[in-house]
Amino acid sequence: MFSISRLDYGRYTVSAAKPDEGYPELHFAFYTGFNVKLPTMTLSAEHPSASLVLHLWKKAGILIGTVADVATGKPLNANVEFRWVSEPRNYLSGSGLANAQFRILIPSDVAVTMVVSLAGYEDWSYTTTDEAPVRNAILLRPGEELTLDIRLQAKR
Amino acid sequence: MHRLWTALIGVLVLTGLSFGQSNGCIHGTVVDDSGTAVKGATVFATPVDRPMSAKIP
Repeated sequence: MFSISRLDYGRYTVSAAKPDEGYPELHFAFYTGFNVKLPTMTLSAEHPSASLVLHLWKKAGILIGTVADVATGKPLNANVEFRWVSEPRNYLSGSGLANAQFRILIPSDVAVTMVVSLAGYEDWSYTTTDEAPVRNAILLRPGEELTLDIRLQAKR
Repeated sequence: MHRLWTALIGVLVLTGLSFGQSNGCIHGTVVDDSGTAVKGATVFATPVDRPMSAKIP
């Protein structure tokens, strides 16, 4: 059971997540796609309380790994950008996501590209062989893990 | 002029009432794909019609 109290009256989208077990946060369309509508509840003086059963989204794929300087082995906190292959407008990007030792959830059963960048270093992109289901993209099943030890090359 | 002030005060009071009510509550359960209740999940209630902001320390 959960209970969120002392909310102002108004409309709310409500969602649940459990990232440590691979269930992603659904505020980000990156995990659900643009067409998914989260449950909406309206609180008012007439109806100050609302009850619902929330379903966790299907498990995400899990990326685990490290980022380091290829020459020195020094751990690096880089920037990372993921994009849906089928919908490039749908992306997740940020610094601190791919830190020296990272664990990132990516949507399962969705092919995404991955680019890691850091000032002073060449960009790193995820690449595959020609036999991969989707070329140069990560495609994981729910709960599947992929380990990536990323090594960045300093610019000359 | 008196009517204008009265109207303005009315608007301010109504605005204060609409933003000042914090008696709402959302409750329920979280379940997984199999319908089993899940413990330890985080639940988010995000206002739809109002902008939100966050301060990063």
